[in-house]
Amino acid sequence: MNFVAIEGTNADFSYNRFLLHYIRNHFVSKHVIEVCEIANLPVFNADLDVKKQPVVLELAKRVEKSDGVIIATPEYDHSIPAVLKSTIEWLSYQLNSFSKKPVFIIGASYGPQGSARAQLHLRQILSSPDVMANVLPGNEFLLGNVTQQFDDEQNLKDAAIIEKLEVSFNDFITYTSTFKK
Amino acid sequence: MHFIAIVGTNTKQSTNRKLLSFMAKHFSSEANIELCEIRNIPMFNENKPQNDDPVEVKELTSKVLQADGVIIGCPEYTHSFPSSLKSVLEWLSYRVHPLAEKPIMLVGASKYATGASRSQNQVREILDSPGVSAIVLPGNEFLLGNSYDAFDSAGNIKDKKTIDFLEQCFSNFLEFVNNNSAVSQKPVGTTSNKTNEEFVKENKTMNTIKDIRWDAIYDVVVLGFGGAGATAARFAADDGAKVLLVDSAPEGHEGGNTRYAAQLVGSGDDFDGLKKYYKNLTFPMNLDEEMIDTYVEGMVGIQDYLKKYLDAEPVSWRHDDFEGKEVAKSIIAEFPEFPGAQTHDLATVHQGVFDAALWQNLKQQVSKRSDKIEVMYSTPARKLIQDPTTKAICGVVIEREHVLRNIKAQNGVVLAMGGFENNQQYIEDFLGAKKLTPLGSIYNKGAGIKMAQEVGADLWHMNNFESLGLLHGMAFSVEDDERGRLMIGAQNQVLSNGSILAVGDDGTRYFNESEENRHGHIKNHGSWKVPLNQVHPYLIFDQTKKNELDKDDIISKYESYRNNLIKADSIAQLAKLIDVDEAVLKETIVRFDNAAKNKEETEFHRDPKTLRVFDKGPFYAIKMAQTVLNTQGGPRRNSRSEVLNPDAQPIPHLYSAGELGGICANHYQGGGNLAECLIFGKIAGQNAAVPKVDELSISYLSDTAEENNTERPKSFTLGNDNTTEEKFTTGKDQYIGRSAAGIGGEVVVRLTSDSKKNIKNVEILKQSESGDVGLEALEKMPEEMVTKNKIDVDAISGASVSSKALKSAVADALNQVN
Repeated sequence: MNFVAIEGTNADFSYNRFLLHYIRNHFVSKHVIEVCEIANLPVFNADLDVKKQPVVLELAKRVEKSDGVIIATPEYDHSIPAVLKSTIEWLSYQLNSFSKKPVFIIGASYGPQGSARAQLHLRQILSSPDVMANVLPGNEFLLGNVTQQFDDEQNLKDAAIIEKLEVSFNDFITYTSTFKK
Repeated sequence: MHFIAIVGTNTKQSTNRKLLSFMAKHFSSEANIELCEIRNIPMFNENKPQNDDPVEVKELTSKVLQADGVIIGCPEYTHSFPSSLKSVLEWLSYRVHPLAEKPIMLVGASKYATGASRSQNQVREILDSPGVSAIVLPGNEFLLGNSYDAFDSAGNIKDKKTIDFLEQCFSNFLEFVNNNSAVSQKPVGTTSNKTNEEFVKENKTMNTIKDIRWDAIYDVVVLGFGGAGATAARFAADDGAKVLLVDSAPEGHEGGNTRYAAQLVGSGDDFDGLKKYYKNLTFPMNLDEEMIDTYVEGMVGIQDYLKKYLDAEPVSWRHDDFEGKEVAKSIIAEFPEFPGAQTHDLATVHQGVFDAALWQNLKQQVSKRSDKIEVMYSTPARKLIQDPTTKAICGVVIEREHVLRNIKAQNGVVLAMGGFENNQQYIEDFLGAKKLTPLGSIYNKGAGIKMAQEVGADLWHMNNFESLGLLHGMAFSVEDDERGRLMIGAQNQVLSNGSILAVGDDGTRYFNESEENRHGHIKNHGSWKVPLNQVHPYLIFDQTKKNELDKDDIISKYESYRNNLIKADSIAQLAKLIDVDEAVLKETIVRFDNAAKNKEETEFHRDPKTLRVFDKGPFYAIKMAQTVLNTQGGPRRNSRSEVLNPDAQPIPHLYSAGELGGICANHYQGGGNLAECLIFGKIAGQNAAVPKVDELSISYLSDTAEENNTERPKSFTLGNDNTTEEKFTTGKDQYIGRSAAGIGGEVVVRLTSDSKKNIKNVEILKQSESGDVGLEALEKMPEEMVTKNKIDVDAISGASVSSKALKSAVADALNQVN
């Protein structure tokens, strides 16, 4: 299947980016996962015409063509980064890119919580009538204490965590398949 | 109480903005609520910019730090906060933490029934996170649903119950803020590597206003005591303002160029005609239509203005008949060929020119209001004090007796500091001249230009200047720091007729000497321009002309003429003495002589009647200098006399009037600048006097509020020079006589006389007459009065005003002898 993976921050350095790249490489034999950056998107403004925003349209096209979307969100101030919120606003205001699109939420954080609160907000946002995404239920993938999770090749070290990721990802494949039928 | 209200969206239309505006208006008696827009704040990015926050974030940080509390108007996008609002909260919780322990009231409006309830919940959680650490007013959920229908056309909430609930929430917030501010003011420890205190230190300019120790407080500060400044001060005082008026010149030398001007004020009675004339004067430049309208409207009203505000019986130089009106005939319309010229008139406060009469009147208006206007002489302004956040001008740094003083201006500052005639660098930079000889005040140094630039003003008309005097606006050359002597009329006649010509730096003629200048502008292929300045222009003439000059009472007695006259037996020798090429100068005179013989001058078309063949020798040369009467350059302003920035937006609380950034561009009609002083001086003074609270930043506002509650600081320890009358001592048989008719104001004498009114001694106790001739009169005449035992001795030529003032002061004293 074809997935788009959205890196939820515009920071130069991000463990969430490591995580997405790891997922892309780990499942590469069966699925195509394209990691998309959002740092170059303009700030969402309801007064602007999305048709004049080529960068937004490009991302929208990829999301719409994909079978599903993976979003990795850091946690800023107990919530999702503004830049990720801005992306969702672009893709849901004049567009309906996320409508009925299967979405898998993941996230990494320095502390032990693994962006749990940001993920909860993201779940609410994606489930709102304006966005109408189909968010994979359960399967919270929370990667806490992230500085200790990757080896020198930026692969996850902990076998139990990798297994949890595989279980969740397989659930997401199943979930996505039900929408494909 | 001062709050900032953050409009939580970047869109143009927002009912949350409406809600906050309503709150600002509705609660204005309880708190000052300043709306803050977040439209220009870039998307948060922890890496960009690398080390420092964007300037928009700094401004907001400063506002939040200085506010007693923050109100957030929170829309709801996708069941959540708008990204633009979240971005702001991220900026305010990353490098800086201004929201830490800041009381916050959340309100929200939404199109649907929920009133942004979900968004508000999420924002509440965000504000509660450790990086932000704000303290949010609990409960009091103000959720304005169906917000598109909630407001009436005036922007008020329609539903009474909704307003009641909002009032209840707001009063709870006020209590909450009061309770919290009593508990703690210090920022909590944060994870950031920069504390709020460090932020404040690093951004010193942002807090300068708060740190300033004010030495004195006024409503309005007017910089420059000339025609425009006196007018602005007087009208600000009439509108209830407490005014400080400062001038860099010592007492008696204030007055800018107004005191030296002809005292003629541009006027008229036909708006359309006059407008046409002014548009033609400005052509081919463009001038803001509203500015022209304001100016022309003012000129049409000048006669009434002089009557109403200056208690004068105005004189019309076009329509009234009186003796002596001939002197101004040629300048009533200096460009008579322009359409509308016949509607231009000149007005004065009485029948007379070059006698400082208007200036004395304007000065008296200030003296009369000494309860409202304090004056400081010898007190140059050094710098404007600008609020870094709102860009409003809050005060001025002045230098008084070598001490810098911070003067607060609550409502406005008026720049009326005149032109830059005496600023050598500006003359080179803007007028492209090596040297221009000032005819007016030597205190016009362009200080207002620098001060305006420092606070972000745009500039205009920088290359406009006017000259006056002989030939194309010249005077006999004087030393660098001296004023040139203005000569017109008969003196120009004798210098522009006969065997005399003017040469530029290479020894050739460069203009038609017999054509009279129009404020320094001479004909230039269909337009009128001040000619390109020559470094050492000379008048060349022969013995016959020399004899004619010696017959002229004024020229022959003028020291700069007598001392600088160069005499040579041959043209070759003369050329050497004036540093031009011998062959070129010879050729110049040959051509001139031929033209005189042929009665046709083909180079510059000088009227053949004015040509006379040169004698055989000796020959003479006298060095001349281009004069500068006034400049027009300075900060750009609008019809409300507001000083504008390069985006044409007013710099809050800053006004200007007069020659500093004058309206007159390109061709100059005499009387234009004085009209400008009266018209825009009034507008500037009145606008500056209006109390302003809307756009002030908190630092400024908070201490203003405190000071308003207390008395004004014990009137002022810096001294006030606006004294109405000085007392002088007298001994036996001594009498004090006064006259206000001097160029520089009052002339006071002490007369010693016996009971038969015999003049024994005349001492001058006070005078501020202009240099050279005025002073000469005051030195020589008293002695002569004693010797001849009469008041009516011969006046010193060229100093008739000073002579008259002295006589009138002595007469005043003599009248007191019983």
